[in-house]
Amino acid sequence: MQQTKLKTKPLLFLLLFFYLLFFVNHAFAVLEVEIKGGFQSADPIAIVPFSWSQSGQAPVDIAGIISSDLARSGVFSPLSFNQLPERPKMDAAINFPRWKNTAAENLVIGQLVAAGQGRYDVKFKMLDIFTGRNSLQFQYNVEGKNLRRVAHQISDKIYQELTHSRGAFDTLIAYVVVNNDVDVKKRVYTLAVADSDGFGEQVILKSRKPIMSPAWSPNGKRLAYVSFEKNRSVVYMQELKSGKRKTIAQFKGINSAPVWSPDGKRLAMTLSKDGNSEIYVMYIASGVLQRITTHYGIDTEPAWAPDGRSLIFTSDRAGKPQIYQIGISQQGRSGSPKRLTYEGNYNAGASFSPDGKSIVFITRDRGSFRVAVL
Amino acid sequence: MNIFLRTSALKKFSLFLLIAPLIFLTACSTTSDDNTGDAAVEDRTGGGVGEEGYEGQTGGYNDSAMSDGTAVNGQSYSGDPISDPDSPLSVRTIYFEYDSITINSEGQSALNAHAEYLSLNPNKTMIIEGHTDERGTRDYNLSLGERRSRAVADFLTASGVSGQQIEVRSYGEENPVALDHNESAWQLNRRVELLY
Repeated sequence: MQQTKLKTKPLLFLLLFFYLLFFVNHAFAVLEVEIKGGFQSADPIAIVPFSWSQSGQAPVDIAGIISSDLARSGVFSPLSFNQLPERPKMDAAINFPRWKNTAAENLVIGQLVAAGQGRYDVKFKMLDIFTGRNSLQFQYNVEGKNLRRVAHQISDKIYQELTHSRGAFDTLIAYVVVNNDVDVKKRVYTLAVADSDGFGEQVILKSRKPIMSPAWSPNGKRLAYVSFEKNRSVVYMQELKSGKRKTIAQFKGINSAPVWSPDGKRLAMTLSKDGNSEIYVMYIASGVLQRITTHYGIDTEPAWAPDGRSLIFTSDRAGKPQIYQIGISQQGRSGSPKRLTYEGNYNAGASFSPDGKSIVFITRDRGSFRVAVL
Repeated sequence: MNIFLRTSALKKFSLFLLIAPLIFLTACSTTSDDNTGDAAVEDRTGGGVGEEGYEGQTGGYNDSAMSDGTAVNGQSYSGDPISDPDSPLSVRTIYFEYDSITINSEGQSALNAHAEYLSLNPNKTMIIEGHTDERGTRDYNLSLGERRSRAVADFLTASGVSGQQIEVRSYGEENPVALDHNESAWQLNRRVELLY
């Protein structure tokens, strides 16, 4: 049981990421990332507010950011401020018997010190409440503008230590915001990038026409996306730093669903240039295009296996959308598509878990759409 | 291999997936005011390449170019029948069932009229724009929208319209005409628009 539980943890992250690509709350200037529900068995953890060397308020509430990160993962439930029996400083003695009376198994304490010239020293450690063992300890010296990032990095360290899976807190998310005005002409589509908790939003593209399917390059430096600014779907690739943009596919018909291969050299996507939606793989540098599927049904939503040796995709070749898998070699497709889903009559939008052992997808179950794991 | 839904946790999570767009839509409707600029596309990433062809908003839904119409025999309306509100040509939207590309009889009779008009007016062109409702995944819906518009295109070409006169496009679920999240909105959004 414990094993299954651990296995699903990174998946929630994947879901969160996938989900954020599509729906975000844009009521305020800052993106709000909110996850309802989560694991029933979320582990209680104590995160004590970091001490601050100066009087007044600390420039960034590092412990607050860590708490929100860990709570948002669904894997942890940080104790509330009132549940903390004491607030020890970094090097103070810890009254472990008092902590053993809380639900928490781990305790995080730290400090923030102004180091002058806009720089700060951040130190933290995590202690196992039952053994008193010091399980993690790190320190950083950073510019003020990087304090939020340090907080996310600490969250990643804690997550990694306790779940043995990589955290995704010190990462960026890409998403499309639409103000769905009744008047089509007043609609504005915004492609933006932000920290994993929605802070630091940067607008990548604004358009009066739909933008969809943003996809990260594996090195996080580029985005591929679909924009309708020419009144039909066109796949673009954009470098985040320079804003330099390249048209990847504007064939006749639809050009959609770009996803980067794990080696970053190829893009799988859906094109209907040959009559109807088929999966293709393009070598980005040369533009060489390999057709992967051949069927009069819809084939779309390709997603790479982490080893880059196969794609899973959605196809309605059997009448209703289901998930299929097909082998991929340097030369293109290898073998024929194998059907993966059989339950229900709507299974679509699949992607792999980072370890390649599970796939997560959207399934229609008695009229409601749900996220399923296979 | 079995599909297993992580009951309590994932169910709650997916429930949120379903209701969140609602929150999102209501929340975002308040942000429209600050977007009154008239640039159709704005690239905010400095130093970007001089991208060609940022088009302005299309006005393709108006029949502004219809004053040069030629009368067709047997019509009591004295202008181009395309502008006659009583003509079956005034039907410019074909509706579909969920996840279906089947054209119903109502749609077929409208398309018969359009096929006749396009055949008699070989200089006229039509954009056939497919749309879906919001349910399901976006990329699948983009393909479904294209299949709907292709079904309409096939119907027209089978009725004698030249392939040169029609162009198939899809917006998937990206351009809803009704913004609610219920069947009455969805049935309005599952459509193909005929744009002259």
